[in-house]
Amino acid sequence: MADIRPSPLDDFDAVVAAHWAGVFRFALVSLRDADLAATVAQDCFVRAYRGRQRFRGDASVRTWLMQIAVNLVRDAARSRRLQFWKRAQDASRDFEALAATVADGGASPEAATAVREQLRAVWQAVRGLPERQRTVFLLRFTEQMELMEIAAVTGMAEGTVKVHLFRALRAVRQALGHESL
Amino acid sequence: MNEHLDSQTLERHIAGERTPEAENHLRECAACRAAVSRMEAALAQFALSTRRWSESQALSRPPAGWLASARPRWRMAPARWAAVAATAAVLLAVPLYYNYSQRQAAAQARADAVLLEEVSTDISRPAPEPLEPLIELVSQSNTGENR
Repeated sequence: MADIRPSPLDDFDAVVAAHWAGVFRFALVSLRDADLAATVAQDCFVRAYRGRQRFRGDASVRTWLMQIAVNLVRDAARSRRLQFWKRAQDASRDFEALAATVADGGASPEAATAVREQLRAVWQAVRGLPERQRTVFLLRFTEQMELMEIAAVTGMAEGTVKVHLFRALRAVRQALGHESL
Repeated sequence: MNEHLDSQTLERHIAGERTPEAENHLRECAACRAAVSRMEAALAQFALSTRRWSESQALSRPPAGWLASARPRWRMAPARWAAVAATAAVLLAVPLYYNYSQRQAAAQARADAVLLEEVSTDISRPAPEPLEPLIELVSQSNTGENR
């Protein structure tokens, strides 16, 4: 007998509305290219829509979508490696203006400068991370995912996720000059 | 308390893997607590900057109507499926009805032909069927008299 239980994917427009921003943000920060990030987001939702019969509800919709997004981001980064750094330079100019808005939130000029420098250091450190470390780091600290969820999204064992995350954190702490007490 | 938390323990704690030992140490050690706070603040600023950067992009919202255009064309609304089914039913019913009418007309034609034949036989007789023996008798009698 056919399974007729309601699925969280029945209203797919609502799924897109709820999860587009997260998928787009992850792709944007990973690829540093807004057009490419939008293409990844669209591909992610089209694939999810076409494959929605395979969604069994073992994981959350967000986990399932981010699984697709992580694979698409990896493919996009590999296929566009030659163009990547030019685009990254353009994007970093875009980012500089935004870093200022984060840093200038009512702080003194000195504090704002310190925050801006700190942000620049984190961004540069994240950019220099190996692909897996960067993916795990972004899922944990920008998408606020738990370690188990990151393991489900990336297909890695939880122990492997931890190793990548600790290494990424160490690189970021070193870039910030926080490594010694 | 003579020692601070080592880097690995601090990183594990910041990553979300928290142990009672590290929690206890952080309650008592201001320097380690400050190190964790500094790192968590930097990470929170980073997360905020990614959010603001993403939200500042025109494509941070899905383009209007793109999903509808991405849906396969064969996926139709139930009302359209009903219309297609009704049309198919009509197209199927027309030849069936035509075939049925033709068979009925042929049967009627056969029945009419039989009736006409019976009427024709009746008309061609010199007398009604019940009187035929009498006619024959009279005919034989007349033949005998003539001799």
